[in-house]
Amino acid sequence: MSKKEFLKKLKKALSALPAAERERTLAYYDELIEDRKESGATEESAVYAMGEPQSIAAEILADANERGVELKKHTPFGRAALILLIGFLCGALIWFGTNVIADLVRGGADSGEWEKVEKNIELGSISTINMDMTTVDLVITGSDSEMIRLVYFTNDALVEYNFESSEDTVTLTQRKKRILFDFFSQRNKRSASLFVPEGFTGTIIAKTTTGDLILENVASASALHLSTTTGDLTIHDAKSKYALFGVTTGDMRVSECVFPGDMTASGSTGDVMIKGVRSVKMSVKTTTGDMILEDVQLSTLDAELTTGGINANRVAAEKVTLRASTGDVKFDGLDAKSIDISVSTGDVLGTLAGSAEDYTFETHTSTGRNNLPENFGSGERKLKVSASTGDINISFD
Amino acid sequence: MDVQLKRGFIEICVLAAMLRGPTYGYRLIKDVEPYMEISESTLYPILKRLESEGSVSVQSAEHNGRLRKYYTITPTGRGRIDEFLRGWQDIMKIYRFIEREASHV
Repeated sequence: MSKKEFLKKLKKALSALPAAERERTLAYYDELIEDRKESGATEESAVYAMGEPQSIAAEILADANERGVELKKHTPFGRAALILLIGFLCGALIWFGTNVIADLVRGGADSGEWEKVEKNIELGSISTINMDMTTVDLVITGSDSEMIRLVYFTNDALVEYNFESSEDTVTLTQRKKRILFDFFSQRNKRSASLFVPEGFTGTIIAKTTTGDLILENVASASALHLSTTTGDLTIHDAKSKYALFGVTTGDMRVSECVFPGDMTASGSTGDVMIKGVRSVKMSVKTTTGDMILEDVQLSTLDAELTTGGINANRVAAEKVTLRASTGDVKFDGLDAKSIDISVSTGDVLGTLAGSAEDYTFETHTSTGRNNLPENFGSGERKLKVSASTGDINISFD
Repeated sequence: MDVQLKRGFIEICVLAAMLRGPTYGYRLIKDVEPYMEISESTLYPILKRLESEGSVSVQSAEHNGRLRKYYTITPTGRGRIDEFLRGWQDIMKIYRFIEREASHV
């Protein structure tokens, strides 16, 4: 069995798991298969060593179930929190009106009944789907239905939603109820799902604050505008003319996507991983996380970060700009007409497509070592590298 | 070995394998394997449990063009090892008792 098949089977077998947890599980097995391969195993035998996807899934589901039981067994903590809460409530009673107290009691002591809500909206002339989530995870997937479908769970005590639908816009907003302590809502998080019909050609705007956001298998949108604050953002198998992705502290993972227009991704402290993406113009910026770009085909690539490293493997583009401040810039098989790399304290290491004669060099390092000529050549490809204290070590494949 | 006993031991073994510094899943398996039976599937829930109880912290880092998770033992995790080691005398006492009684029969 190939890794791809294995992960696909595992994913299917884990469908009962919340999407974010499922992705984490798949990433774990992906990593361990890769590590076995790296230590010399063939893909086949590395996958074989993991065991059968079905039995792995069964154990994971049993464990998840058990953890649920364990959570309920945690009464000492729950009770302590409850006593604290009640104590606080008694104090608060003096200060606040009874309405506020009723809210708090509902939020804390009784975690409320969950009610599943399903909305099916005729595609008609809907051009914008707007999902504004705070605490819940959001999963957006393509479907072969002809309706836009929303599934979410309301709970009088914990989360409330506001659904609006006009001629051209569908909006779902989720807010956390006013709760003094957050133990209960975190434990009882239930994800919201958006199913996007194949024929939808409009814009999807989706946002989460602490929840994870996953978009998968959406093929015909004209623009995707997805962002999270502390949650992770995962985009897999998507096609859209334009894409705008943002995370603050969460990680971002974009894989197997086609964006015939622009793709812009920005992160602050999380890692950014872009794998198997085709687009025209891609701009990726992060502050302290690492950036991985792999199997990317573009016309223009602009990648910039401050303290992490940039790793660009098999990137092909007309024009590539890579900027890092304290991290290294590494690449393998970088293939571009015009390359501009600048780092300040990190190194520049890697291999370029073509031979040295194909390039015109303009390279410089202040105190580091440079294995390339500074101003040399008259090749069609332009290579500009500037490293301040780092080394430059570039070879050709 | 008894399942419950094994489960307790294996968690401590995994924690102990982190004492030399941040490590990753595959290496954890290789390090623990000679002492206890462990596989990818048994390690996964253990790491999860250790992470959720705060014994281990997790960071993703780039390795060969992909992300790998690195696990670091926290002071809480270190505390669990110390607790285990402190309890060792009691375990030995029980062991000697069982051994002595068993040899009479």
